[in-house]
Amino acid sequence: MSTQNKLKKILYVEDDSCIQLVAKLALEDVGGLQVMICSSGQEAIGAAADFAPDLLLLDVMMPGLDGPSTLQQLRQLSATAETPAIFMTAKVQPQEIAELQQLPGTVGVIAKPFDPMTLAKQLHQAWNESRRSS
Amino acid sequence: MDNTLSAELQQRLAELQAIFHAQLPGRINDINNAWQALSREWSAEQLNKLQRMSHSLAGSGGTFGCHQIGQAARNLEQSLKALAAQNNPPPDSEIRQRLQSLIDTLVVTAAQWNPQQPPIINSEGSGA
Repeated sequence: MSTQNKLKKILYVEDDSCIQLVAKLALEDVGGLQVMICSSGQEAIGAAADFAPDLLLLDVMMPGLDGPSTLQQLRQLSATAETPAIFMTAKVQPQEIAELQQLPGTVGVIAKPFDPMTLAKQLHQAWNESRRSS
Repeated sequence: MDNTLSAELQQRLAELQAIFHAQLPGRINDINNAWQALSREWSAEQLNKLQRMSHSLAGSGGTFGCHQIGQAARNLEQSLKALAAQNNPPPDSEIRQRLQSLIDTLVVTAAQWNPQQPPIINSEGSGA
């Protein structure tokens, strides 16, 4: 994990190619962030060490490894063992949201549909709060 | 954000919306096919697949400016989820009819969607 004080690098795991494109636009063009997109949890696990993200952004429901299982495996890697994580999900039940928030290092849950114009701001806020509390 | 950048972003979002719109019939077809397969042979795996597909559309429909599609997909997902929570028993005819109705609604809603506006409204975050 980077030790810099400004959020820059996002590892984003999402299987829906259309949502990938909107999020990339939202985070890179609107938010000025550097984003690596992975289409599966397995791909993210393979890419995480080299990319060394400041923040993990994970879809919840994906084929193969889902978001929580992906995070669990990313926690086994030194590069992402303590990297703050945010889930993006269309799940709406409070119980489901609460369960995600209990996962180690989770600093936020963002509901889909999301607003591309404010997505980067939401990530910055959650990431900054996690830095203050750590 | 200045107006030029905003206009450029709106244009790019509109292009992404057009991509989503073009892919929508294929996604609806995939859901229909998954439902047909599940109807022929009920299985937890196929139920999970259909639930995942409807979940995905529930999230992306709203993001691309069609909340009706998102809601129709969410209704389907919630019903499938309730079934899955009962350890996937093959449903009776009443439940099958209800699922068929939810899928029919999703199909019609998707077919009727004609995106006229870019999905995102302004920099105040009132869109999507």
